[in-house]
Amino acid sequence: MKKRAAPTRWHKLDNTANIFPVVASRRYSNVFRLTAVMREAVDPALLQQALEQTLPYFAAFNVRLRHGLFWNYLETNHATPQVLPEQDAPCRYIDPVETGRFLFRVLYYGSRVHLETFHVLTDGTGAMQFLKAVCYRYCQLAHPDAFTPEQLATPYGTETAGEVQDGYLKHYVPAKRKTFREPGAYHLRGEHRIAGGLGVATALMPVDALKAECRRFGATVGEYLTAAIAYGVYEEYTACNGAKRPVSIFVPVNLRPIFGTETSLNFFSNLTIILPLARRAVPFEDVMEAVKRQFAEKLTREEFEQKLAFTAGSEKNLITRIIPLPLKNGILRIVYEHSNNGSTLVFSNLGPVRVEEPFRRYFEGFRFLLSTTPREPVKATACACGNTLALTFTTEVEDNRLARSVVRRLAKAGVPVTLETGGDTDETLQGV
Amino acid sequence: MKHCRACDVDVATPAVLCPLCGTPLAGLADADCAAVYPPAGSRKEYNFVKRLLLLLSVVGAAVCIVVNLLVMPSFWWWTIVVTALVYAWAVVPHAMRRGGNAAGKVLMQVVAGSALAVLVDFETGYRGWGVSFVAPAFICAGIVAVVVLVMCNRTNWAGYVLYQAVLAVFGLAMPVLYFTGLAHSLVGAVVPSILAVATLAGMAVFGDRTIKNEFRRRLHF
Repeated sequence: MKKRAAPTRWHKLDNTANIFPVVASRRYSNVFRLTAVMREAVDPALLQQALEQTLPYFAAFNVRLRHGLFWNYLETNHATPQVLPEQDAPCRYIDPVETGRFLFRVLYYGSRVHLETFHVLTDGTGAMQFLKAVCYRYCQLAHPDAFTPEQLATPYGTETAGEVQDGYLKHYVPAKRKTFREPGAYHLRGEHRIAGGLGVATALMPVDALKAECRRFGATVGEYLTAAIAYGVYEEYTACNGAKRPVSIFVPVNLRPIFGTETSLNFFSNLTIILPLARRAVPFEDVMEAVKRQFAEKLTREEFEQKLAFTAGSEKNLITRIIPLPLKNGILRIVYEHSNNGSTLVFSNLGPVRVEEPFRRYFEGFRFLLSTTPREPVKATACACGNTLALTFTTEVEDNRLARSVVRRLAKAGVPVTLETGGDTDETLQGV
Repeated sequence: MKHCRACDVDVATPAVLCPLCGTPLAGLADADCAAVYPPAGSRKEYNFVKRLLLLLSVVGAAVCIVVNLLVMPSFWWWTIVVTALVYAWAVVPHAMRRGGNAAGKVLMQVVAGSALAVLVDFETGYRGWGVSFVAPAFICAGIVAVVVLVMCNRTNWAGYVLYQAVLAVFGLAMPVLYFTGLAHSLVGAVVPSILAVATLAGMAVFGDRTIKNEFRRRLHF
């Protein structure tokens, strides 16, 4: 019989994703890592099986990147991805040639399962769904006796996985264009890490104790941590060197609940908290108030609709559309370089991660790591599972001053903190 | 669990000093205290041969410029050397790169090779041989090379069609250059255009829905 090519589906990149293939490189990997911490050591063979069985449900992940004449696009990948033991630094650039053209990798280390995703595929919320589905399947394979036959036959966590619609274009309302140029922000600087790669410091804390502290300020957990981080930058960096630029914290916002759309592609926007703190003594309470005020002003549907109108509008513009891809890439790169000045660091809060009831006993928690860039050498994330919140700082510079400032503030406020670090060489661990 | 008194935090991973402030930790590690990340290794890539070749290229170009200007200042042949070096550094890595579409590499070689020929022609007193002979030859070779690729990898030939189509468009542009007087070889105009028409016809005849879909994907805007 004549051999024929397997049927291939494809979808366009979502509105934000267009930028990532252009700027991704070893220095700007644009890769983020989600980790599921299981209660027992991971069996690689079963994890491989779980991945192979789950991937077909996730149209957003089972793809490879291809280049058209005008746009990049994602097309079904007929290869099989391989789970690998973790050996390198987290959030390393994903070279498609190494991964069989997949734009994610699944790694394991001890009792941890890592999913590293190139941002072109999806955002943290979309990736978390995939990671959970793989881990659910893994639990089903590893503990077949613990589930009823009906539970075993159900692919958990895959409900909206097939939704590959572009939320940005769906909710695009042509509006009066407003540009979103943020003022140039203060940038953290420091010596590069001797060990190379990414340094990781995760502070684990009980959610109830943290919430009690937040209540003192009438703030949400997100607002409190943003303020603590901004104040940390002020305390450790700007106060001593007299920088004039404001401290700007880039906070990604999941748009799915705001617009009521389920999609497994990227669907997030951001708000930037801008605090002109430098060169004057400010109490933490003032920073807290400013952060709360800016959250209230900027975290509204109208604000995001305007942002959508701006970004999706640029993509819909006929001139943008008919410029050939190589030229478009050049323009996008320039735009990216210009827009990259507006934030000091990113604080991405994934919020509470819910695990389905039958699997809860197998999960200990989750971690969320972001890759850094030369302009934003430190990034922070938070995600919670059960009563534990994991606040993670990833850094490509040697010092951990920002993490120290935030952790000491929390500890002083009576929140018990446990620290978990990575990315060190054996020598530094020994204190040599 | 070990504890840092200065930061007032417990440290769950193996450490002697506090990872945040460097203070020696108090207390004993738990029995099950294990690293949660592998130790950082140095992953430095250092391609000595490539760097050596780069140095030789720069030194070679400099020597050529000096010798040329001292010995034969009337004719600037150093521009040819520099053009060839720029060509080599721009195009050879593209061809050697792992992965990438083979037909895309062929297209790149055709474009860069033709551009090189036209540039050298220009630098040696423009006589039109670049546009009239070399570019058509490159285009013909490119079209034939992609046809060979298609025949070798029939199952997935859809991946090559966009590049084949672009090469065909180049082929069809040759008669235009001839009739506008920019090129002056009739053979150089006719042969690539015949090949181009033949490839386009071949695509239309042998192509099925897969090919149509491939075009739709590649050309969507």
